[in-house]
Amino acid sequence: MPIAFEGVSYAYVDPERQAKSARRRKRRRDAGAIEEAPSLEKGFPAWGGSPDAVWALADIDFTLADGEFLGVAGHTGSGKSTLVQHMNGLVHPTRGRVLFDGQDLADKRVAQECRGKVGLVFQYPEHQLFAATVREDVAFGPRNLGLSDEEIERRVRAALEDVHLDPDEVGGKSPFELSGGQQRRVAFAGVLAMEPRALVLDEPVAGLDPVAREEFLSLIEELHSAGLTVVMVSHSMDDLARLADRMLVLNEGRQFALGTPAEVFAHGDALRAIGLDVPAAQKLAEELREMGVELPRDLYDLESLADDLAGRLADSAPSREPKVGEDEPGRNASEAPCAAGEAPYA
Amino acid sequence: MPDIAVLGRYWPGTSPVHRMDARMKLVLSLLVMAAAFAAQSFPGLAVCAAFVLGFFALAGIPAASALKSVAPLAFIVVLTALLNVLFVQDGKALFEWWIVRVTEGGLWQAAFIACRLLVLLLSMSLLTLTTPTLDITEAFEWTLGFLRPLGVPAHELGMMMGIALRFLPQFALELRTVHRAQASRGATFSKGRLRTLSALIVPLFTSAFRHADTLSAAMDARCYHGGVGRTRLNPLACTQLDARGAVAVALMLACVIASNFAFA
Repeated sequence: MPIAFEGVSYAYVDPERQAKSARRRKRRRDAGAIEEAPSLEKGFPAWGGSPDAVWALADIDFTLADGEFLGVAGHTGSGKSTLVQHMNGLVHPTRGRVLFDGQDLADKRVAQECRGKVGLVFQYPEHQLFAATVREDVAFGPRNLGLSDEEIERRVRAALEDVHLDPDEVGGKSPFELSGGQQRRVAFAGVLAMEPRALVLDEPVAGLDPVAREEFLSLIEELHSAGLTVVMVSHSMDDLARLADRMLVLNEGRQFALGTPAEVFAHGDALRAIGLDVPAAQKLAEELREMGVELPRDLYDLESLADDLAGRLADSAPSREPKVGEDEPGRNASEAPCAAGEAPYA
Repeated sequence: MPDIAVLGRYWPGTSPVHRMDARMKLVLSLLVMAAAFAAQSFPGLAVCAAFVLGFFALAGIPAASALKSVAPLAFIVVLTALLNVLFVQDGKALFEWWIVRVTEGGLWQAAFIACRLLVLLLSMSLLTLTTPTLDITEAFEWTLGFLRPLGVPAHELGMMMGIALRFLPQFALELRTVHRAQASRGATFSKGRLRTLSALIVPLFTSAFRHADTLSAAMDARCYHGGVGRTRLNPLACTQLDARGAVAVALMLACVIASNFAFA
């Protein structure tokens, strides 16, 4: 059930009309009929996309394979949210097409059918809760699919259990009584209850505390290992490096990079130039490498970096014991894993 | 920003109309509306429309954009015109079917009312197109000022209007997000069942309350304490420009009234 993007471009309004009005604005600005906006520097805003930009997405070309975990990254306003809303036919490309199982999502019937199979979880999904009870809210999706009452009940229970909520305990409560993290789980269950084959998550852990965040990420990991195709938009490079099989990086609506996290994070400078970064461990590894420490792997997370550094230290320890204290890279390296974990409490 | 066009969007510019005092513009646009009501015949309305379009030209707003700004309210014009066609029964009958009887007088009346409404809407939209929301709010507050001795909270009303205007596009945006989110869960809104409708309305209400909470906290944090002792960065000021505008509108009123006599 692959989702294929074929040369997808998207403009909020008719591109020709928008180009015309941008030209007109420029003409009026040059003629002094409108003032220069104070936040613009040389015609460009200090941050975000240019107001005269026509395309929100341009020439996006990739295929999402079954069972894959695709991470989507990009600066604010790079088109990530617009991109994921193409995946179940909520938004139709201005040019190009999105294929779901080889069928064009521009067709309303295909789009409607696809919504039962591609579950899209919006940013802050808890803001979309509406029903009197948690059970009713989670049942909304299955009910729209026209399932029988028993099947709906079964799916609601299963979905709530999937997000580690007790159906008997919270099922009868109002969703608005729950904590923020629990509300998000309920909203998440509302999408899982449709039993989709692919999950598309738009910044699923934004605004959660570290514990809830960790729980949520491992929940996503669990669902993925159970066979679900997952697309996750995130600003956290660490999360993407940890979970994604493949990454798509957007910059101003264009496909900036597409590849495994190791390939994408190999170009730290390029990523920093478009307002992103590499994961913290990878960044440290990069800096250590510049100082001459030999680190063989392409992509590091905290554990593998700690392991490699510990191994290197153990190798060099007997012969160079007295020198470790003065050796700049060696000292940094020995301190780094500690600083991340125990140092403040030692 | 996304494609949600809301009536009353500001069209930035530095034209004489833009530079006029917001209070003067508010009063003058009320007068222009009065002129549209004063016009009793098509020539009178034509004079009215000519002046209003002249003001649009002066403001540097293309005719197409001017018409587009009132398009969302076109249904009022059409509805009123239809009612007039059906209920005004003067003159020769042109068409009869069942209880529907269309007469010549009805058609004229409908056309007249439609044109008058269009002029009214255009003059209102000229105000919102050329005046930033903040200035309109201030002008509104000032205009209500003479009621303050009667206990009318002019400042609070002005602030409420400003906040309401500010949040219209915000809610339009959120309604769209909620709509898409529920559509992702398979909801179809064409049938308009109560449950699917509540799936839109309840989240919209909760978000309104959430925004109200945040906004009041933010206003508190900025020491907002009502209108007393509040100063402005750019106080409104009447200039010669406003005098000229007033003269232009007075001229318009005079022309409209004269045309009433001329074509009576």
